[in-house]
Amino acid sequence: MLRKILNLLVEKQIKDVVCTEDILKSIDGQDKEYIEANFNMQIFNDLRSATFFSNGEVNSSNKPVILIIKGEFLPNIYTGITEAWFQRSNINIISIFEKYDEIKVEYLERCIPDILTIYDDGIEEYKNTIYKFIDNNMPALINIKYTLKLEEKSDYTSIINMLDSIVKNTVDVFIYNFKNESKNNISIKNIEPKYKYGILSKYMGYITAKEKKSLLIMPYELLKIDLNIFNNRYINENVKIIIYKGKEQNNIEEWIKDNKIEILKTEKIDEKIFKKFWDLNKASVLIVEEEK
Amino acid sequence: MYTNVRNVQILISLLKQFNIKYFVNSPGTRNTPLVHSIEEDPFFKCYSIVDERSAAYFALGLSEALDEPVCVTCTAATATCNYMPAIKEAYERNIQLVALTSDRESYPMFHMQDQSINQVNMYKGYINYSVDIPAILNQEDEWFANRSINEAFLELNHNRKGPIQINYHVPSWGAFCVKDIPKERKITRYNKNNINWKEVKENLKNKKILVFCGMNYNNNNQELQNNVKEFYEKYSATVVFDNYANLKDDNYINASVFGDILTEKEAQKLAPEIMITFGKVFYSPLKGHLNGKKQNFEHWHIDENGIVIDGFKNLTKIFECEPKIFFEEMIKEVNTKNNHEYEQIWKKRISEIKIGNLSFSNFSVIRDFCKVIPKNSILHSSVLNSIRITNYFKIDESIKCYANVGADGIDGAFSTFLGQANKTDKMAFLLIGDLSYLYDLNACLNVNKIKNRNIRILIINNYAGAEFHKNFGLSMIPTLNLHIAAGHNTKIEETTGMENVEYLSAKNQEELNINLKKFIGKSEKPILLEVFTNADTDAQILKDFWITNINEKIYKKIIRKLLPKKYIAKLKKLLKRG
Repeated sequence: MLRKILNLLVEKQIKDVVCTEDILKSIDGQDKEYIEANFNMQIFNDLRSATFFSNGEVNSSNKPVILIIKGEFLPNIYTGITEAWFQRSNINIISIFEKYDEIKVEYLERCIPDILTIYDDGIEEYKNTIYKFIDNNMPALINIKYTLKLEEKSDYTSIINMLDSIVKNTVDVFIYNFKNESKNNISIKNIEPKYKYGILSKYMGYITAKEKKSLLIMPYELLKIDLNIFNNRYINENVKIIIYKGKEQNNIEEWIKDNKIEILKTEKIDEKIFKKFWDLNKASVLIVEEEK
Repeated sequence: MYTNVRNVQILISLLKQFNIKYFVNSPGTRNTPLVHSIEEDPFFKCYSIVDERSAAYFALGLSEALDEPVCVTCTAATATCNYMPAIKEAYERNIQLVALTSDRESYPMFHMQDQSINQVNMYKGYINYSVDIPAILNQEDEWFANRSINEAFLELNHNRKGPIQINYHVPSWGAFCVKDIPKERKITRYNKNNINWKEVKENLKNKKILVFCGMNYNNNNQELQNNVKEFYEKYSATVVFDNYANLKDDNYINASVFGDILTEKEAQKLAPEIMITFGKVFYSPLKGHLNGKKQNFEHWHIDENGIVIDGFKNLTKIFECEPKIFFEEMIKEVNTKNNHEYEQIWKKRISEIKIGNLSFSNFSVIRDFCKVIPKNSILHSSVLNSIRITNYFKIDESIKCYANVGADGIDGAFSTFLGQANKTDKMAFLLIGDLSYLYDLNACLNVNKIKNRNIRILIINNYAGAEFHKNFGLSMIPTLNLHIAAGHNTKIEETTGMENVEYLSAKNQEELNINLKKFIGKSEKPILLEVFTNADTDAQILKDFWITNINEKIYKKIIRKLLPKKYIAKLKKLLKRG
């Protein structure tokens, strides 16, 4: 269905597409190539920013912009699309869900006048409606079902073992998309991919309440959607974050350092560096170059 | 010092009473009355995060760690939208987030008002409960704000833990000049996890208690009946009901008639110290005269689902259990006896109600009908006079009574009745007005599909909506029957041919006496009895009944004030009073 809608957009000579990094990684490779070949594509990490960005493009070009996103993160468009509604911006959102019963969008009805959910595979009966949406100078939302690639779970067993060997009391460990269970003194809190927004903020709130050291392990890309939380008054020596950078090019380290957080870097994590990181009496972030 | 913005004061008082102390604040003007008030109060623990989306996620982490509700506050407009991602997660993961969204005046919204969006129920689909609190301009606003905020807090962890939204309007930010804020009424919900029955019984000791029974169609009533009876015998209780409570006893009082004749002073005298209610819907117009705040009584409500019903404006306790369980617990190990002193006040007033001789009218027809309804029948009364007047008369306790008093519509009475009749073998009576019958005429085509053949339909046909003749009358609105009362000349007899129903009619007392006997007797087929009355006469007779039963002293006072002396003498003669 995504390809069929994209075909319609090409027919309509729509050029501008904004999408998030995660959707590009999750859709079929051929669909991704099709988008890259036929549209001016802008990739944003943060969906809230992507929405505001789309609005900006519409302001400037007076042409429709298509925003392609994962439906489970729709709440992040709320603020940008409300502004777009006021400005009567022609932003057309294609929202991709894996299951129909996940499509709960009543809260958006107050700021998106045109909402369509496509339940089957035929495009012909929806063509006129979709064209009407595109011609209408207001935000629109098209919900479709699509089988997305699953994000692979990561294995941080070695880190867990390292931590377990050095702590005497129970430690909470927040891990993004982790496949292992809690052990001994380590209480694992798995963060599912659908809750990837605000990981740092949630972690900060948690340790503020608990007033004890807790570990967060996450991929670098999730830093990019929760950056500003480093600027808060509650950062203290209990903050311990391990970030797997992999092939990421952005250099966010300066920003983190500016907020009185110690940065340690390593190509691959070993016991020595881990102990140094854990025992540091300061908020610390350990950046691991290895890809996970 | 606290803010003088009243709805914020109510909010703060209830936050404290519900022990909600954690706040994550984002900067803004609109929420300053709240934020500055709480940041100075040592009860509250405050944090500051600028980005509302991060603030809500931070609060989520806090709440998860503490397993307590955490509030987030922000200014109006899109700031509130930024809470949505965390609200969704809180909903899915059962975390108690409290979104306190400050708001501007609503009238100018979208009409060039800056920083203003529709924030009412803006997290729909992912919120346990959402309320919109107005700026307080009068007592009704105050009651509404108090009640709504209570309702919202109660839903933080009722059935499921999850987020709530309290949207509150702050047209202007007021001043910080209040040293102590008043303690607000708090509603507490009790269930099997937190109820101390001993304490409840203590609270009832030596109190004047009014048990107000609402609609109850439960077929397994006996245990409840017995428990209420024993409760009545053991406590200083008066039990009032309407017919739809289906809970009768010679000692209980159908005080529906009071709704139309009671004065404020009398209501004060009759008011209890504790009112206990149970039932799905409360018909009795008596409810319009009892106000917990004015008359200083507490209201306790018993409901299996723990629903908040604050009809008397001073609900303090909800017991989330079956009524029979509540009363069963209340009578356990209690050896006191009802001294009937409080009950006497009610009974005295009821005994003063006189019906007198009635001309032929819907009033007299219903009186006569109520006298002869066979025991062990069912009776459905339609809106409105059928319901009103049947409640003035005693109906045998074996007769199960129904009415659509949930929303008081005249639509669907006939259909509802057929549904009720279809599920019983008992004789089934429908007492209905002409407009209501004609409205639901389609139901006529189903009469012969009903298994129960003992169907009896009594239509009081006064060729118009009699309620409007009561409210206005032809002297005030000569064209009343044109649209308002929807006057008609329809021949209802012709409708009975549709489904093989026997037709009887009466246009005076003599004919009624004869046909009423046939109506309640055995028959092979359903019977429809149409009784013709006059709408204006019906209205007058009803009003006369009320006027003659209004408390004499007050009535006299009013008359003396309004009429010249020479007319008072004439009136005295007419009434044959000293």
